[in-house]
Amino acid sequence: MNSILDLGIYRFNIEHCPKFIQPSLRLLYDESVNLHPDKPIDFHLTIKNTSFLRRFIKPQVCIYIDQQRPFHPLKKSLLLPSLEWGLNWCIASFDFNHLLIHSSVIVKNGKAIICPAQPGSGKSTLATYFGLKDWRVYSDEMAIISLNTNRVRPMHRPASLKNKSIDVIKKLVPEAAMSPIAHGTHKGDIAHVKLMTRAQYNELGDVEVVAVVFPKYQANSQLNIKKISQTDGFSRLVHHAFNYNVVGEDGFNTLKAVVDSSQFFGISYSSYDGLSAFLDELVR
Amino acid sequence: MTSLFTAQKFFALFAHSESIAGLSLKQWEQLLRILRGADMLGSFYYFLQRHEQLSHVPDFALGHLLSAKRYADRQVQQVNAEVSLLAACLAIIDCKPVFLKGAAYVLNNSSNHFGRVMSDIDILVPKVDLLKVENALKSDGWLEKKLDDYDEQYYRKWVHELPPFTHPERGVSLDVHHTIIPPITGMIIPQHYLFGNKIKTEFGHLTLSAEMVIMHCIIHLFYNEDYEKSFRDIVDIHMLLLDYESEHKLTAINQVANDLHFAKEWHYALYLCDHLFNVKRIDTLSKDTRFYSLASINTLFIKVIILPALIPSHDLFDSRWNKFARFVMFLRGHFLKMPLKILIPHFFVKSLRALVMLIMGPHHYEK
Repeated sequence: MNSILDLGIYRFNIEHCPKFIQPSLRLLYDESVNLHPDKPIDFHLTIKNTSFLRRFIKPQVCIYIDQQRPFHPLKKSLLLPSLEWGLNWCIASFDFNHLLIHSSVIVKNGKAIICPAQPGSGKSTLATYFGLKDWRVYSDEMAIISLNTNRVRPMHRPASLKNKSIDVIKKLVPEAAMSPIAHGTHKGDIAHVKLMTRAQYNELGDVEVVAVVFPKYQANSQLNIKKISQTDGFSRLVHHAFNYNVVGEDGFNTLKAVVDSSQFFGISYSSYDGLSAFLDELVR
Repeated sequence: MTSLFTAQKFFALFAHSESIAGLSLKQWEQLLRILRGADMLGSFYYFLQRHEQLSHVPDFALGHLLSAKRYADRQVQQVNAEVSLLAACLAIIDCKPVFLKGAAYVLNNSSNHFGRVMSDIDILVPKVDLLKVENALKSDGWLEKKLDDYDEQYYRKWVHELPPFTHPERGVSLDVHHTIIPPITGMIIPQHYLFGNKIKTEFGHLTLSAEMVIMHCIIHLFYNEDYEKSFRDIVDIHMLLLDYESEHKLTAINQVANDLHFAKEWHYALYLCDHLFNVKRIDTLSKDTRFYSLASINTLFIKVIILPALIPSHDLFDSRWNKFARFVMFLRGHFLKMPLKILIPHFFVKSLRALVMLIMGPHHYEK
């Protein structure tokens, strides 16, 4: 069957979307599943079986994006995380109308903090934790910044947690709505967490970035906050902006506007308690 | 998903650009998918711009076209930069490369380069310079693509080409050619057609002559075996011809086509352009007594096989007949490139290796 995922900024269609992941999609995407069936779709994903034999023995599926197949065939149980990567792949490969920064985005009082970081530094966990509290997460994976307005735009998507983060969030926020864990992806175990309803998403608008925080989770450490200069911040943002080389002059101007409106910090932390007051201060 | 497009309707957009005004949003959605699959999204933006049709494009579609345009525009900058770096690298060994295909379209500012994307840069150098060029590129940081032994032998022994190069820092691929058609086809292009009447572009870089740029594109199309994205090639040919016609007479290309024994392919290309793009070049040329006349079997072949094979490969379009037509062109392409005494062992080795990979896993031959 076809399933539409309406992320707000982008609309995806998943052709031959198997029944077994429908409950997960419903749980995570809420009313964004099959929303506005008559509106046009931006990107099409098709899920295909690899061979007739493989339907019965060690079932495998492939994700196609039109005629392309960006990932290796995978076990059925790993479909959900791969679909999520498929969505990211489409955005990163085809959207050059926005500056895309590898970063989570948390918003409060109409002001955004973006947290760019390498995988494994805890940016998704941080976004998930605050998204389950009183912040809104515009994305746990990429800041989508309009080249026209220089504002960061919201997507309606779940956050994705890896390995130990799954238990961390389960312990801190036991009531969080979480998908079943996919064990043994190339990034380890993955689970997805719902951070808002569609109705809550509909309240959100594009907002200005007021701070850039480079997070680093360090077990058993004290909260450590270091101010970073705007010059340093600029070059570190370039490093995390994965379509910066394509969006050219417009991308530079957008990045400059973000830098001009932002304070920059590097933080290391092991608990979210002290962090909360610090982040609140940035968006006051 | 039901297709809201027929191939005829798709082709018609290129002959009558004003027909985009009647497309529904759902038709746009499918058109964008087909164009993206055919690597033509950015080109389509410029096509509509040239025909002043952008105001008829709904916002939904315009966003996708603009995004692709931005990507292609940036590639033009990248190509210009790479061309300078390559020219400087080869200047050390006193070799001036002739830029081919996509890079040449950029350097010549041909109409078809706007929005066009390419996956590699192609250069032509004299055969005697191949070894020097290989070494110069390597010492400049280019790496030869790792091929398995069989494919390496294929390149060096049969195609007489260097394996493709990549530049790991700049993320560019480079193909080095010493002629524009594999010698194995038996077709030889005299050196002065390649290196004699070159065009010197604004910054002193070289491309083939205007006639040879077009002939190369035609040869590329009709000696190809992969037709999944060949619609773009016929669009290239048509647009290059439009540029050419504005300054010269087509009889000059006809002469070159006759001299090089590609008169039939030249006629094929014109027939397809006339048919697809609502032009009448064959009428004009048929007054020329030296214009090759097609046998009715050839005309049938164009209609029944080549045209269906040119339909972009996409789930929304693919009929059994299109797939069959592409398969015929696949066999034809191989047959033209390899005499049977090489083709049969080649298919045998490739099938055997496919079988081994089926049993031992797809990465068995990777080093």
